[in-house]
Amino acid sequence: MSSRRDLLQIGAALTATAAGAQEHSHPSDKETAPAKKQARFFKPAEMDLLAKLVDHIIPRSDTPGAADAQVHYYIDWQCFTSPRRGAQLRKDLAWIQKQKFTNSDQVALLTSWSKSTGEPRRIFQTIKDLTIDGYYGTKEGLQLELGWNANTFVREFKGCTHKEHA
Amino acid sequence: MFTQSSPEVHDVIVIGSGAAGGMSAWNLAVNHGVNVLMLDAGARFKREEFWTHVKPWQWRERIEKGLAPPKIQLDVKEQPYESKEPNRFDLIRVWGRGGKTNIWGRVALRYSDLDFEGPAKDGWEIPWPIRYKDLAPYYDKVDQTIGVCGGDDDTDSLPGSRFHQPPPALRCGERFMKRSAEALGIKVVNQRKAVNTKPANGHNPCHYCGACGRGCDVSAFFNSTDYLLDPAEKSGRLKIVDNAVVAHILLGDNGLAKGVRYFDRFTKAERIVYGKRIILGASCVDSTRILLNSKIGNSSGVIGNYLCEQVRFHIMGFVPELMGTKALNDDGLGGEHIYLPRYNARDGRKRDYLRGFGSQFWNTGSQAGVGNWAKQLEGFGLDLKRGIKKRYPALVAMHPYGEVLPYKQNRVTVEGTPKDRYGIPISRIEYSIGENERKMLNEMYDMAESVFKGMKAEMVPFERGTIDPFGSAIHEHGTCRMGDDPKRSALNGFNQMHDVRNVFVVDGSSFTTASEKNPTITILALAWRATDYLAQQMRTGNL
Repeated sequence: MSSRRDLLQIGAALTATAAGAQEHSHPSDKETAPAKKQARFFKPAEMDLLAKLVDHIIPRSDTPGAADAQVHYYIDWQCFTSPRRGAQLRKDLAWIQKQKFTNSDQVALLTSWSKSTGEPRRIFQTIKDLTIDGYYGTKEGLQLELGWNANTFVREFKGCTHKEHA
Repeated sequence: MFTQSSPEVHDVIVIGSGAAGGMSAWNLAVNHGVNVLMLDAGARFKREEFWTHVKPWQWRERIEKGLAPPKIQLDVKEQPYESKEPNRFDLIRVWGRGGKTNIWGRVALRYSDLDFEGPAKDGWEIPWPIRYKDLAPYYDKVDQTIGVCGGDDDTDSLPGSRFHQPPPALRCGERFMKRSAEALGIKVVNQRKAVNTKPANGHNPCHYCGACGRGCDVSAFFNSTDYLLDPAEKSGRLKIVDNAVVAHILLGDNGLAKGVRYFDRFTKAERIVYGKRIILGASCVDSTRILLNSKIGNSSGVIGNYLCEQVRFHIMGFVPELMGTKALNDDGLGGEHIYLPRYNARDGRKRDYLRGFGSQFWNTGSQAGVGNWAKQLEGFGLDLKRGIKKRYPALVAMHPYGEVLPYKQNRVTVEGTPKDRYGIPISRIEYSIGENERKMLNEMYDMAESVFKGMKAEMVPFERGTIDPFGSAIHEHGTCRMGDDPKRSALNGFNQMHDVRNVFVVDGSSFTTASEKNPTITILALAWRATDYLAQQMRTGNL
């Protein structure tokens, strides 16, 4: 797990990269403020449930979790652009509610579904897959959590810098 | 319908603007002073609009705002082809200036005499009419012209070059894979890529942003537009017609080609241009379709048959020593920096199949996504989050490529197919692999598993024997093959049609076999050599 010190180092590295990137920038590079998220497919109650689910799958640690990164809105967008998928996920969320998810030991339920076979496992895996795709494509997941710092101008590619791997 | 035609008779008409057409036009216009008319099915892509330095989250935001990156690949809805399950063949095409060189993998591996002599030795199917010595000077010239980085290795399966630019440093995972393969006696070398690692010929060096598949915004890797077509246009001897979708090559009463019929991509207006010589480089399947619809040059009956490419699969794992280390910027050239050349012809190795395989290694190290492996980890919660982070910098991947033999039944046909928006029959692709490829795949899997075992890598679960969809290597060859025997081949050793000697076919369709290698640098070398020959024939009045 990253310490606060590590997070500060990541922040410093990001700042340094931004300075380097100025050497080679494009109009297309400029980061615009993200638009305020708005659900386009799911209803508020469904969004609340999705937020709980994604937060269980990738919770907050010393870095933001999936709900912090608004991954439930990513899933909403996926369903908005693929209504067939949306219709299935809507049914899946209804099934989860029927299991009295909100008022139960949610971790125990998810654990049991993750280890089951058949429908509960499929539903669990669907939401897990979407959460992983969503979270690790966000700045919070990819940059802050994993330390990805690429797709940018680099004057010299250094490759592996570990002497012990030479 | 009114057909507009120009009375001008061009010295040479080139069909297609990718590696094959681009090299042909450039060599004729710049090096030989020949006037060339090029017909390109699309138009120039705007470099400044490429989404190169766009982070994944920015990408999403743009898409949600209704924006889209430049569309480079041809939409199959615009120009369909037929291919039926379970043997679906994915045909990737680019209609636009530079063709597939805008987004190609840039792997630049020379064919060797193991490739050129293979069919003559093992009898499958017909011999190549050329050998490495015929093409070696052209590979040298291509390396110097387009800029290829790589090492100083030189072996029987992968001939060396004196003109490589410096190779990039290896990523951590690549060091481990190289070491593990070499402990098994399998040599791993620096990958050769058509990427400038230093300024050369007025082209920028790579800045290692890793977004090559979206098109290079500074033109650091070879693409036909910047490296060939722009200089050719500047010479004043190349004229390019945009959005010209070629349908037919027209034959005159003397048995020679006299011109080309094409349609405007958007207005659908039909036009004819006349030329004394025609060079076809519209990519393997589209060139084949043009020839079949034109009903020319096929007294041998081979045109359309013997479609071949490579079988390949992907295998991933995690190096224990790299787990939990800090993620590095592993973008590099975009794609791997190492290559495992074919080795199975050496040391008296016994094999129960013909030909061979090599391996590539892209997606090694810290990537801009984890979906292709993280979903397979069990559980959820903090354990899952930690498990993903631990493995993230330790990812290693192999992608072996094996040669598919040319089979007559693997073919492109146009008879009885539906017509496209211009009223021209579309292509039907029939394709499958045989016992030879299945046996080779066994050894490819054995090799890849051994390399991973040698590193004590934790494997991402995989199903042995699984292969990529047909066509996904985007290396179609063989449907208008060259050979010495006009009864079994369509072209001679200079890519010239046996039947219609003022037509040259210079793209991947001209290959006699597919090899295990990426073809573009060989297409460039063949096109250069073919057009040198054509220019010489023009000078002596033979053509």
